[in-house]
Amino acid sequence: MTVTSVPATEMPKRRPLLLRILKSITLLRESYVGMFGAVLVLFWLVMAVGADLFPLRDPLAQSAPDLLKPALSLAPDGTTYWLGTDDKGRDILSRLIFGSRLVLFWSVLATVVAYAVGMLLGVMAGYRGGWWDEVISFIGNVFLSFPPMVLFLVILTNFGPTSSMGQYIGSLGVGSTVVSGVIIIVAITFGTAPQVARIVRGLVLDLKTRDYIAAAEVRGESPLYIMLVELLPNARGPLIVDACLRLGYVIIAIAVLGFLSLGLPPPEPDWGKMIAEVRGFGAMASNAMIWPAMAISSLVLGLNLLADALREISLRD
Amino acid sequence: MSDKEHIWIPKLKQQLSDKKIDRREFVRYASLLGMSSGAAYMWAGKITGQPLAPPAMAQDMPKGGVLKIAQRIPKVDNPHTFSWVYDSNVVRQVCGYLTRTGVDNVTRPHLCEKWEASEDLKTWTLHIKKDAKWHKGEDFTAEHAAWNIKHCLDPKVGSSVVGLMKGYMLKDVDTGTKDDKGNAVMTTELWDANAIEIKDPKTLVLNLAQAQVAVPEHLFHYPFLMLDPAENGAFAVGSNGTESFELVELEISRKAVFKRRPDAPGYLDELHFIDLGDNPTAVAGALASKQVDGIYQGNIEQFDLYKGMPHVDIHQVVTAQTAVARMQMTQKPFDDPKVRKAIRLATDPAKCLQIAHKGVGEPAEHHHVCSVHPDYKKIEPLGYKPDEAKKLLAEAGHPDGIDIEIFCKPDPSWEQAAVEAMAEQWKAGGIRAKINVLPSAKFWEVWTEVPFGFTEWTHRPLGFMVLALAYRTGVPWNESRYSNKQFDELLNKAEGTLDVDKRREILGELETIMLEDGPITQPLWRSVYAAYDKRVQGFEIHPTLYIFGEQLAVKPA
Repeated sequence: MTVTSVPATEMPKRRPLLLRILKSITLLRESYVGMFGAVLVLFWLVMAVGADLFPLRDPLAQSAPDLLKPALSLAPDGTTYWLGTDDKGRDILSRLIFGSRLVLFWSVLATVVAYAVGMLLGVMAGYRGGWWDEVISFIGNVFLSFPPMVLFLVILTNFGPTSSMGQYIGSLGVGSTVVSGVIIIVAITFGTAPQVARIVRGLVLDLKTRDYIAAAEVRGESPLYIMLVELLPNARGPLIVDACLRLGYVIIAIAVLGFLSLGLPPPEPDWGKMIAEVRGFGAMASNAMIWPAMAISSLVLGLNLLADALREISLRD
Repeated sequence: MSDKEHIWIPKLKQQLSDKKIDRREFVRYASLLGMSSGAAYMWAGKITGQPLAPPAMAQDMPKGGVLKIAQRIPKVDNPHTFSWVYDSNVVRQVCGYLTRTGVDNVTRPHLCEKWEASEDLKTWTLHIKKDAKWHKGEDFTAEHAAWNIKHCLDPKVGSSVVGLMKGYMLKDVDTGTKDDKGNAVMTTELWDANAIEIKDPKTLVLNLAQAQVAVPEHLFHYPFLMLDPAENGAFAVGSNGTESFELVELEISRKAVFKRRPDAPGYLDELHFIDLGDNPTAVAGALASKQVDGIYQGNIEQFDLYKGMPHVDIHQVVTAQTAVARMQMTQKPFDDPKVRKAIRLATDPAKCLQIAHKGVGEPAEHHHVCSVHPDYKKIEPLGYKPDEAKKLLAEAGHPDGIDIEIFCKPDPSWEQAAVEAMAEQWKAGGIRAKINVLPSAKFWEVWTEVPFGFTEWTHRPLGFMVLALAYRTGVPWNESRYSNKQFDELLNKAEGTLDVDKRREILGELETIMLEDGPITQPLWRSVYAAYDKRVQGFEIHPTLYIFGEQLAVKPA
C-alpha cells in the first residue's frame, strides 16, 4: 500500500477587521434606509460621547423664572433655550444630550448582558440537548409566558431601588443611579435573555450538524470550546441584526420604566422621566414632552432601520 | 355659647378696637371662650363698623340626587389613628366631632351645644346637645364623649391627639421596664384621675394640668371622631354614628358609598367617594368627562386645565399646608444643630415655591408657623446663604461637605419637585443629596423611621398646634425625634396664653429656636384648591380640605 501525500489546500485568509467594517459601510451606503438609520444612531452616539464638549447648560441647573418656556425663548442672561425648558426651568436641549449618554450606556449594557446570558443558555440548550435543553427551554418558556413589561414591573417593584433589597444595597454606599441601573439590567435580562436563548438554540440545532463541528469533535475539542469558538461565532449574522432591533426595544423599555418612575432616580435626565415629569401640565407642557418623545423615537427608528439594512446585507452575503 | 361672659372677652373687644387683632381673630377667640359665633360676628361688626356677613343660606338647594367626589379611599378601620385628611372625610360623613372649625377658621360647637372656659383656662365644661343621638336611637352622652377622649389619649392606641393634648391632659410615667440600652421605658397616663369628669349625662368637664386656649380646636383634630364605644374604636360598613349619612359600601382603593338617613339634615340621597388612584390626569379626565362631580384636591399642574373646563368652578384658599424636610436628630449627621442649620441656610424657599408650586402660595421660613396663623410673629428670616452653610458644615467637622439621602414620595408631584429643587440648591452649600423616591404606600410605612424625609403637614388653625403635634418631646408624630426642654416649656406657655400679643411674642421665641436648632427645613406654604361641577351647590373649600356631605347638594343634569 502506498501512501500519497496530498498538498494541503491553503485556507483563504480572513480579511482584517478594519477592512471588513469598511466593506460593511460600503454595503450600507447602498441602502438609503440603512444610511438614514446609521446617521440617526451616529448622531446620538456623538451627542452622548461629546456632551461635555458642547457649550451646554448644566442639565440639572434649575431656573425659577424660566419654567416651561417654549423652544427658542430667551433666558434672562440673553442666551437662548433652543428647545425650551421643563417644569423646573431646566434646559431641555442639555437634558436630552446628557440624557442620551445615560440612555445609550444603560441600554447597551442591558442588551449586552441579556445577550451574554441568552447566548450561553441557547448554545448549551442547542448543543447539549437532552435534559439541558429541557430545563433551559422550560425555564425560558416560563419567563416568556409573562408580557415583558409585566415581568419588568414585577422585578423592579420587588427588587428595585424602593424594595427592601434595593434599600439595603443603597445603604452600602452604592450610588442610587448604579442601584437603579443594575436592577434595570437584571429586569431586562430576565425579559430578554430567554428570547435570545430561543433564537440561538434554533441556530445551533442547525449549525451543530455541520461538518466543521464534527471535525472539531473528532479533534477532541471540549464542548465548551466547540460552543464558544465554533458555534457562537458562526451564529453571529442573525444575532447582530436581532441585537440592533432588541437594543431599540430595550431603549423603549427603559423609557417606559422611567415614565413609570421605576427607572433612574431624579434628577437624572432620563428621557422617559422627562415626559412623565411634565405630563401633568397637559397641553401647557407639550413642548417639554415632544422633544424627549422625539429623541426616543429617533434613536429607536435609527436602530430599526439599521437592523433592516444589516439584514439585507447579510442576505446578499 | 356660654351664658356668662369670660373675663378675657372685654380684653378681646379692646384689642379689636385698638386694631391689635383683626375681626377674624376676634371671632375665633371670642368663640373659643364661649361666645356664640353669631354674637362674636355681631360684636366685631359693631366695633369695626364692618357689616355682619350674611350667612350663606341656600334656601333653594335642590334635594335628592347622587354626588360623586374623587378622593383616595384608604383603610378606615381605626379612625382615632388617622394620619391623613381623606381618611377622616370618609368617617366624617357618619361620625361627628364635639366641635367643628368652619371654612372661616372659627370653631363652633357641633355635638356640643356650648362650652365654658374657666377664667384661668384650666377647666373646660362641655355641654352635649340635648338632641344628639346615635343612628341606633340611643342618646349621645358625656360618657360616650369621655370614652372617645380617653381612647384617643391611650398610648396603646397611637393617636396623634396625644401630641395636641399631652401638655395639659397627660403626664409621663415610668413603666418600670428598661429598653435595650438600659433606659427607662416611659408611657403616659391622664395627669389626674379627675382630668375627664362626667358631671351628668350631658355635661363633661375637662380639668387641665395647665392653661390651654385651643381646647375646642383640638377637639376638631381630624382623628378625634366620636365613635360608638360599643364598637371599641373600630369603623366599618354599617357602623353607628351621629351624622347624616350611613356607610353602605366600602371598597378600599375603589369607592365608599353613603346613604343619607331618612329625615337627617342634608340634601343628597347618596354621596360617593371614588378612588381614581394617584394619577392626577385620570382625576382631571374624570371631572372633564363628568364621571365625577368634584375632586377632593387639585394638583398644581392641573390648575390651568381645570380653569379651562367650562362646567367647573374652582374653589381656592390660602392655607398653612406645607411639607417639611425633617431630620432625625438621633441620626448622624443630623444630631449636630450646625448641620441642621446649614441645610436651612442652603435652601432658598422663594425659588422652591416657584419651581415646585409655580408660585401659588408663600415662601416658608423654616419654622413651621405660617403668616395666616393669628399667632405668627415675623422674625428675621435666615435667607439663602450657601457660603455660610459651608462654613457651618466645616465647623461641624465636614470641611468637604456632606452626603445625605432624602426620602420622599411621588404623589402629589409638587413634593418631589420641591425635594429636587432643594437638592439642587444644597449643592452650593456643599450638601450632596441623593433623592430616594418611595411609592406613596411604602413611604407612609416608614415616614417616621427614615433619617431624613420630606413629610406633608396639613393646615392647622393656630400656629402652636402643629408645633405641639410635630416637635414636642415624645409625641407620636414627632418624626424628627426633636427634643428641646426650652422649646417644650415655651410651647406649654403659648398654649395657656390667651393674649394674642403675648402669645405672638412666645411664638417668636419658638420660631427662633426652630431656626437655630430645629429639625426641619421648609420650602413653602401652598394654596390649595378643589374643582367642582357647577351643578354642585353648597360647597365651600375648607383650608384642611374637610368635606361635609350634609352641606352639599347637586342640581339635576
